[in-house]
Amino acid sequence: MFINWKLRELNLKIVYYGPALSGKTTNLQYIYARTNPKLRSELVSLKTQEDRTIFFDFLQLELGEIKGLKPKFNLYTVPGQVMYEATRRLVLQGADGVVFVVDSQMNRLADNIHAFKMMHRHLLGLGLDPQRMPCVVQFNKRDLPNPAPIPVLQRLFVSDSTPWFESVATEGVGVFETLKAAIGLVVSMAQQQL
Amino acid sequence: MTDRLQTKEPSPSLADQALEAGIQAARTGQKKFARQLLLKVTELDPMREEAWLWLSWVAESPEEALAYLQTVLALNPDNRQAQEGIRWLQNRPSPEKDRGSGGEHEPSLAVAPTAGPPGAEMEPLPVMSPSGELAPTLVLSVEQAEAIDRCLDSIAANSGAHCIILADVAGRLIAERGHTSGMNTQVLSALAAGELVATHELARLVGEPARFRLLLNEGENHNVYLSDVGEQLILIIVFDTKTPIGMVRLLLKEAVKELMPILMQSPPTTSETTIDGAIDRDFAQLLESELDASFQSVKD
Repeated sequence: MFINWKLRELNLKIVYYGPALSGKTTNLQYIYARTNPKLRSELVSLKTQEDRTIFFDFLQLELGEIKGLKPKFNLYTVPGQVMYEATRRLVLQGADGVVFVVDSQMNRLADNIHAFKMMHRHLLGLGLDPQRMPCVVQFNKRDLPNPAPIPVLQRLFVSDSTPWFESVATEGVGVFETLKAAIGLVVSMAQQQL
Repeated sequence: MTDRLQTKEPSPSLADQALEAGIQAARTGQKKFARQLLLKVTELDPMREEAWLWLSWVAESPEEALAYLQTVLALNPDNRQAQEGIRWLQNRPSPEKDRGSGGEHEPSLAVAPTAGPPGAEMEPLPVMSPSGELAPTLVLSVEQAEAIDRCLDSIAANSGAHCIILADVAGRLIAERGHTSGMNTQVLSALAAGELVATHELARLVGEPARFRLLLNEGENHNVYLSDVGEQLILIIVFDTKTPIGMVRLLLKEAVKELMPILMQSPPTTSETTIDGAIDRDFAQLLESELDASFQSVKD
């Protein structure tokens, strides 16, 4: 969290984390496409020639003044491919909240579990407390055949108080709900910290 | 939102019963029934390695079996049976064999799970919940922000730099001075932070004990200099190629010296306390309506 009292800005960072091809970039692309252009930055995607994220995607949402403060939300994605482990850790640095994007397909279950464990490890490595990190879980790709049952995903990735959403990011289903929940959590955390 | 929150509790006894019945069904060749029961177990308690293992035995295709075995390994990388099962599936001579007898595959006996105690070596998945304090908070008072601006102005004037930007390692823009109109300084901060932090990692990988603290990007018209300011901040200087790099480096060192004491000052006091109260329940509600409005404004 960064607050500049001179500019009256409240600046928060939310990172979309998850295994390769789970739909992290698609979430940001949908948000970008459907948000008032005056309130968002350009969407920066650092990707390979094959259109895969190599470093991160970045999008800033800047809302109007609320009670004398201008909230800004910096949204990042991490690269999902296994070889970009170090990069994922870097992007998590300074995160005020995370959205864990699960690929619901049954055959991706193991990758989801691995990514979830790695996220936990990275947060610890960065000196952040994973138990206290605001986290929203998104079960994406619910439209594809053979999705893992929701109760299975819940038990694997969701604790009692973690908000979770089913989504089809390509169609925008569940995308804003996830983002709004994440923003709600980081703001409530900011509230506690001040 | 509360109805979306998870409330389901594990039912160990039911899961135990379903697991036992599932294993029994698998052993007596009732694969379809076994599969239903074992899937039920994974719904009740997905952390049961044994249920996933037995599922691989009654899976409808080798691909499905592989997914189950990989799930076991994700839960417990040391599970020997899953390791062997995966090796066996991957070393099968030809996939045609699987389609030969009614589409059902027959894993080798080495893969068949034993009926040992479930989840004995299992490493629990981490649990996340939203409460408490987190990433370091950077709060700049009006006085600090003004002092930083003065410092950056003076470097800009002395160096003839095109512009100077202060950001943090998380990529957040903190202050910008000079000719920044038409330049997306927020995105620039995010990229610069990524770049400099990546060099820290690079230093670690090549066994360099200290961090790489400086980074120079040379262009035809502009150069961009990046430098650490303490552990958390980054200074970005954009200058034209005629400016001697040595001078920029010198000014940068001085700037870092000047900026550090400003940033070390304790965060805001009285003048901001009234704004502290701004982030209350009201704020959250207003924020939500603001978000709804911004998302809806481009809808047809």
